[in-house]
Amino acid sequence: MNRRSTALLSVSLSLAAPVHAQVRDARPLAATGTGTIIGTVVTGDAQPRPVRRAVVTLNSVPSLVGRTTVTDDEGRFTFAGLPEARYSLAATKRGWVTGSYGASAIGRPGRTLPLAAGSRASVTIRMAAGAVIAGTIVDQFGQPLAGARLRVMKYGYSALTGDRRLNQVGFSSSEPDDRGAYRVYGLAPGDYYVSVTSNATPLASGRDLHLTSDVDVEDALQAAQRADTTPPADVAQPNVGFAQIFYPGTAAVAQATPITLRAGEERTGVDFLVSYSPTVHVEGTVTSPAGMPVAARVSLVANDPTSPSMGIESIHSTTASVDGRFAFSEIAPGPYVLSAHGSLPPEAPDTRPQVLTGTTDLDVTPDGANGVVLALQPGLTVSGVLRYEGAAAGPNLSSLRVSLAAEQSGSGVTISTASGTTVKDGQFTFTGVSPGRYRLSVGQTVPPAPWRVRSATMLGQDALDLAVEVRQNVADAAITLSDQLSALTGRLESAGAGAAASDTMVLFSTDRAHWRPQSRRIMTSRVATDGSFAFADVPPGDYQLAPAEDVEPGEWFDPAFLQRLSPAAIHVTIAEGENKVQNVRLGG
Amino acid sequence: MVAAIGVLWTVALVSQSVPAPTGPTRAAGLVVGRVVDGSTNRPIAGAIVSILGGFGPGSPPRAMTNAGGYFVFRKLAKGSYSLAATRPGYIDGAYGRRRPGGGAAALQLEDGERVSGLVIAMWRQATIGGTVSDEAGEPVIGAQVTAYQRRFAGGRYRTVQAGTAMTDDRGVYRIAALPPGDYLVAFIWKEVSMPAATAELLRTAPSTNDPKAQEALRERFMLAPSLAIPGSSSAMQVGSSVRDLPFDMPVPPSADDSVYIYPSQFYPGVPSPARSTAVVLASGQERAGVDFTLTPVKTARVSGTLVGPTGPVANAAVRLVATGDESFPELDASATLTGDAGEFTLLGVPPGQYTLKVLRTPRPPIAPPNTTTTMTQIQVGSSMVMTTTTGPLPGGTLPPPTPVSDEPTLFTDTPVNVGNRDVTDVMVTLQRGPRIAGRFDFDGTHDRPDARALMRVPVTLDRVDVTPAPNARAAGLPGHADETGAFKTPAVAPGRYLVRVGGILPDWSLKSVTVDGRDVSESPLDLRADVNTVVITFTDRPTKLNGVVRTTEGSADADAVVVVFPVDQSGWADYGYNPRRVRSTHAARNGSYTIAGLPPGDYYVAAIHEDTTPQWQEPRVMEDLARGATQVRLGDGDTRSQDLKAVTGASR
Repeated sequence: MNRRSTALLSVSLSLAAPVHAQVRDARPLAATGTGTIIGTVVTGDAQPRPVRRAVVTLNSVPSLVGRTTVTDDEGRFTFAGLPEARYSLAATKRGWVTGSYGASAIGRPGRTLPLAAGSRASVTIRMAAGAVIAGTIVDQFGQPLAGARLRVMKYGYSALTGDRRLNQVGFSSSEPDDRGAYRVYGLAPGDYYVSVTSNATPLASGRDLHLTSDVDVEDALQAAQRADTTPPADVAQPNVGFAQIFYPGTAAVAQATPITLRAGEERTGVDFLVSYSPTVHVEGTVTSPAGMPVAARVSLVANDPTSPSMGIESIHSTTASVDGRFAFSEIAPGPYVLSAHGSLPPEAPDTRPQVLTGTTDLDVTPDGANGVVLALQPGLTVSGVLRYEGAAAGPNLSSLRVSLAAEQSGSGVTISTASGTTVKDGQFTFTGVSPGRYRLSVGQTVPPAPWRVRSATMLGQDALDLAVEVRQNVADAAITLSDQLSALTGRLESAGAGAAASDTMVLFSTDRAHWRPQSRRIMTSRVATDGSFAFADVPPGDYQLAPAEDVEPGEWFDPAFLQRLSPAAIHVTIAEGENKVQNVRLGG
Repeated sequence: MVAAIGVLWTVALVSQSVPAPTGPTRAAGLVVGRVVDGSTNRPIAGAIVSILGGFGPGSPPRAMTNAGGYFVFRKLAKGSYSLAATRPGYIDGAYGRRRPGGGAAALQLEDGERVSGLVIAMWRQATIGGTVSDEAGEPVIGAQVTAYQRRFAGGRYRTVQAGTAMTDDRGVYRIAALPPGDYLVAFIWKEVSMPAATAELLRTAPSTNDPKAQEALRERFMLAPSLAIPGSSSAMQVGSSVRDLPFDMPVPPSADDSVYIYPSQFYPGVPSPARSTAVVLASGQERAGVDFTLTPVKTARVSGTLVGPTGPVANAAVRLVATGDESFPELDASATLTGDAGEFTLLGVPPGQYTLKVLRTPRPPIAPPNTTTTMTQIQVGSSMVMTTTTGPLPGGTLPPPTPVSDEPTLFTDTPVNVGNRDVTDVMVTLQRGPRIAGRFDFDGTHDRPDARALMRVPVTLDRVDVTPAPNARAAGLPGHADETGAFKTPAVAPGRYLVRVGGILPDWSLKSVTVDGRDVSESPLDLRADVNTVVITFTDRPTKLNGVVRTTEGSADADAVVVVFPVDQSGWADYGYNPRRVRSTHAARNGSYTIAGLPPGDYYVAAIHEDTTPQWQEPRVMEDLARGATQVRLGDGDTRSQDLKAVTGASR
């Protein structure tokens, strides 16, 4: 039976928030041992008080053990039966700022704790009640604004793009209540930007809204009373919506006022008055390469590379039916990217349908856009082999999923489409690939331990560490798995007092081409309390190793940061399967 | 075939090259109206009024009322419209609605017709608020508080979830958007866990196509909407189980090898709904001080093995439901998944009487390994939206429905009494559930629908004797016919069911659903074993009842609601959510009404006003209405005309 005809159409949408920690390892179950960690969670005050009902998490580095417990009325907790490992500990509580063991300050990353077999360690973790931002959101008539979403944001490194962007933080219900009131809590001290956007979801097409004018009402009432058949006057009913505004009421983030919060501060009166602004329609047709209308999924994405806070509200999606027609409403004029993908019916019953894709820039004027024609082109094909090289028996290749992932751009909008199936007899094929820069790997995360992707190539180029430009069909893609893991361990030794400040070791490729977000050749290790550090699963190659202090999460993907570390770094070469030891001496 | 020598990538963007659609004659209808507060009759400014109907697939327009509460819609084509109004702080209003939650009316608009004087009433919503604190007097952050309302629905009194809210950093919650009524307010704790081995399998599931991991993932998401990974702040390992810590709500620490929980609690501080005091809300009332103090309770474990007809059943959801009021939604005290050998451990069970429930219905097949998955990635700044489509892309043909599964439905309802000690070695044997099967029959002269149309008519079994949990996601798939008109449903748990037939067949409407000559579309079928002789008959001559409602002065009564219910009182209860014999419709602006497709039989017909005769679906109100109602007899294919006078509210 034809597969296509039996499959149900299912659409799933995931809103991927920036992911700071990637799950990189599978760990054996119930790793146990004879070590014990006991501890207390206290407030960061001058006279620390115990924090009860805090959730304490314990994770070994690398990840073999994960445990969670809750503090008692005296803030105490115990983890027993632990294997020898280096551990990170953190205490979380809703509404509080997370505290990490060994952190220089509350809210900062901690240090790892080396625990020997049979030993017992006693630790203290400090955490603090979070600060609060609260206020109301009303519209230009002074009434609670319907359909609003509030965001509290802070600058931080984006795991997706590697640059500093505004990221959403804090706990709250994202929508104001029936009185227009909102309250965001659990905030660490710092500078915050607050904005109001529409809560429309990307898959819901906008709906026209107009403000009823007095002229309109007067004319309509008169027309309704007239007995004649002359058509009523054409009173304009311009459509409106509201765009993102930042506190204290500006559309441009550059003019926004950050709110500086002290520890535990409750800042009320962060109020918004939101005015409606004109919106327009974008309408058009999607066509096949032969110029015939074609059904398609269509996306319209706001493209303002200068905005540091663009989010999912920038994305509008709809479906064009068999007549190829699509329409978007509630669109604010400005630059957009219009994109679509659809398919032509298969030529023969047992062949796959031909996937079509297309993307274009579109400037939406204050009059809107009508009669837009988006001509789709056949997608490209990327095919190749998946193989395993190693001593032990390899993984079941057919259980693996090969991923072809578009490279994230530093700014602006990237839209990509690719259709693939599972691996069969070591072969894989993607169809309907939109032209662009892609990386090739296995799985959405990593293949099951102990296998690693050794290499992935397309068009004879490395496609694992670097994206490859795909503008034509690719038939030579190849992915090789291996079971040869490399590792680097060492100890940070100090000649003077400087060692205490260096809490992080950064291992990064000597090749600057690898200095990009999410690179697997940029790694960090928290320095343990005894100065030890460890990097597991290091891809073979040439690296620089350098100590750093007070590093922001994700900052290590910033080339400027790596550049600053370079002069003091030690050169290390890691061979495949090597377990290297490299100590680093500071200040000598 | 695409040549491998490189494809030129071009996107044509041609402005104005497609002519504007040439629709029907220019629509010139006009509607002007006002939104008012239903209690004070004062205009409501800033309400958003939407109008639906008469449009193509595009987006229906919305208008925000001006300071006088006015709204205007222009350029309306001839057609039938509905109008709805929303505003924060108010319960949604609709054209024709005379009380909160009452029925709405359709607005019939003629070609070029201008309608003024339309009034949409809205009512201020009521709220319930309070605080949740723990045994030390500290606020509990992230606690979920639920308001339940007792309503007459689906032919019986039920308690339904009316709203929820979560406490903030002060322990404060506020449940808004409540219509007037009696509410039970509760802090609900549901202990969810799974075997540690399953948690580990799920952690690595995203990177594989391992069917076992995919099955565990699916069953887990039916149990709880998140993945609980030990070592994260949302999961805690206890023995060989992993507990969920939802919403980061703090839980009491475990001690002496026992799990302590904050058990479910009904206002004012009682353990069951039966002993709860209702919070009575008037329209617009803000009720504060509905506070909860949580106290830790030492709990027991319930563990055992789940065995089906062919051996241990892995990855099955096992729920422990507090025994009590059947009209109340099932309250799970604890739930878990079975492990590979069918073993299960339910954590956090306070002392009490429970029913251990398992209902394993046939699942839609997991996408076969060769299915094409299309991934679209849209990255905007630091945000990313990924859309994954499995199966045909737009442009492909709509596939026929999945064949009805012959997999068994396995179930159990096993009583379990829990005291202060763990209950161990519970051996639970699953039973096979029954199904119905039969054929479609067509009584009439029109052509029978073709096979493709037949296969799209869903046949469902609606349970009438249980109030399902508010977000029961384990609902089974509907049954349907094959090419020959023979149909079957997937198997269900035994119980009392109404057979419901959905979908639309042009020219045909449902006439009857019979088992050995007895109609089971209106009286529940007590389903204990397979029933294979169900005949679903469609007719091309549906009955029709129409007429005009007039006031006592003789003018058209556009505010009336016409209600129809059977003369036979056995049809006044347990008629399900989509009854065929208990019907109502709002009179049109000229007082006319039409109700089509009533099964043949004897009926009472009455015209009421919903603001003075609410809850007409309740048997006691039907009894009152029957005295002043008109009796009509409908034969097969009959069209009857029956003018009515509205009864006054005195009949309460």
